[in-house]
Amino acid sequence: MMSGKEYIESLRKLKPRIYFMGRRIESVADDPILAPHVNAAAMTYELALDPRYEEITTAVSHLTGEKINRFTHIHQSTEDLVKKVRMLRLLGQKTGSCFQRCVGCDAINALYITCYDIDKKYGTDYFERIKDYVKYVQKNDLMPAGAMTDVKGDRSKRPGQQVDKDLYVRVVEKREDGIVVRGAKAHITGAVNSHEIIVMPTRALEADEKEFAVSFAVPVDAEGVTMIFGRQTNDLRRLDGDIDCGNAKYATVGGEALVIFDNVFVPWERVFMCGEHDFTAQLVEVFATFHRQNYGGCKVGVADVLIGATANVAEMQGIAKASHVVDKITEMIHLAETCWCCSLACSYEGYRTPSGAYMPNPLLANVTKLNITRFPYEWSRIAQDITGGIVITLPSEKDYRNPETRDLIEKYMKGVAEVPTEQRMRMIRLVENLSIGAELPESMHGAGSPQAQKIMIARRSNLEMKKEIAKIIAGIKPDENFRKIRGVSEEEYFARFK
Amino acid sequence: MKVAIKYCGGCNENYSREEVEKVIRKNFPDLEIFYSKPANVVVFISGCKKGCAFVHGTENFLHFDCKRSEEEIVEEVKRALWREKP
Repeated sequence: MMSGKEYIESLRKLKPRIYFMGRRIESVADDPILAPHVNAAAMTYELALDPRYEEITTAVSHLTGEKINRFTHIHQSTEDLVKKVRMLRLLGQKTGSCFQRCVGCDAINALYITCYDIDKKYGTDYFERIKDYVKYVQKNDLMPAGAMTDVKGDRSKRPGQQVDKDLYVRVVEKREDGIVVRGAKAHITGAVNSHEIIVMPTRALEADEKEFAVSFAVPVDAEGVTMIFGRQTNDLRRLDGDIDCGNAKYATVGGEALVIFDNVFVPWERVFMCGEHDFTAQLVEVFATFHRQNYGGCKVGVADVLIGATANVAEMQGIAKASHVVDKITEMIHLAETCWCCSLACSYEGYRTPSGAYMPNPLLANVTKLNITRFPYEWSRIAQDITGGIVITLPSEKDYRNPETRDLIEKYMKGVAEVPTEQRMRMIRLVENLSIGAELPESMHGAGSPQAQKIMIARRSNLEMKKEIAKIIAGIKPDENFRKIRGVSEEEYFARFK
Repeated sequence: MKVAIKYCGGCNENYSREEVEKVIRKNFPDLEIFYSKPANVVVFISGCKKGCAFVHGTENFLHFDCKRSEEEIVEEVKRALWREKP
């Protein structure tokens, strides 16, 4: 397994083509805009080597018997699923940010399960390919990014109906030694600082859409891959010092990029689906289940940081003992722990798939994520409420460093006497970082927008059964248990009251 | 005397787990303490009552799963070490 430092060194050996703000990024590891995201991902490596955390940050590979980073593991039990979300909460606490590596983990697990099923139906050899790829990832302790969301163009049209068919990643050529793909994937978390990119289709596809039914892995610096790193609220504050960012070391959310595949060649051994359109729905659903499982782990870890920051601000401003503040912070904790319950529940209710790998309960995983599209908005609202208007009016670090204004800021930005002004400023900025900007839309749309979860919940919740039990309770349909309990039918029992 | 420390993963600890190790190291400087080798005594340190650190079937062990005073920790370690004496 690599250490955090070794991971950062490993990035220096790659030469991905990345652009940001009109310039090419020369060094992913060192660029001031990307470095905090790199640091957050590095934490996933570092904690795997720490005896205080290895119980959940490592696993034993079922393929090689070797000790591996849990992010490269294929889950072999429900306990593995639980350990994954425990690890995510821990990393959220340690970074206060997104550490990006779960997406690749979810991709290899979803492909492992789906490739097995494709092979069973079609006699293909995708399962051996994905097993070989997983071994390669485990042996080299790699971080693959998972790339699912196509750019989609006109949402009212299916992939093949787009004016420009490249708006969904597709196979443009099949060769003896591999395939050539073209298209783009949007919002790809951690792509710029990953070693590999795993591409999966974005939706269920029909028989006439086989060219879009493609899954594969390529190195981030493969010929023809270009990434355009997305802007975030306040991103250029990273160039202005370390206070105004709020979380200068680990940034906010994952750092997402538009990843373009311009006639990229993929050898067959890295192709995991090519034309099997009838398995696209399964792959999307299994991946989404894994990824939605995560959010009651990582986001709750980040919420732990925000709750701590809010409580610190309350103390620094002398309001910590006010009953409404105590109540509001308790409400934040309640919301966060509710999400944690969801992640644990969908993990404990997970099950074994025919491939041997385990996956979480899809209904509960979707409930987990749907709560995350709501609750972080509420706990952020409370954090801003307690912190006060200063969360958006605090003077800048540059004015704090300026000798002409420093004393004024020291004097007038003071909270309680015993806390240095700079500490209060840092804590307010942390609240700002975690409750304003990219953090909230990421909760909304990461792992799929709320309607996607609603569709899955509706599909998985067996509404017919609920209608039936309601009819039994309402006395519309016979209740077999009532007869056993009372020894007479409902009609006979209630006749005496009529 | 060899003592192995085994931590749970620490996903949401209710107290500082590291304090237990610090107390042991401070009060028993002659012990050989490590994390993953066979030992005379195994000290499991779990961050909460779920007790994820604990491994069933361990012979001479201590299991901490909540905040304990320094005196309590020292007393428990002494007892475990006494059990190991020939």
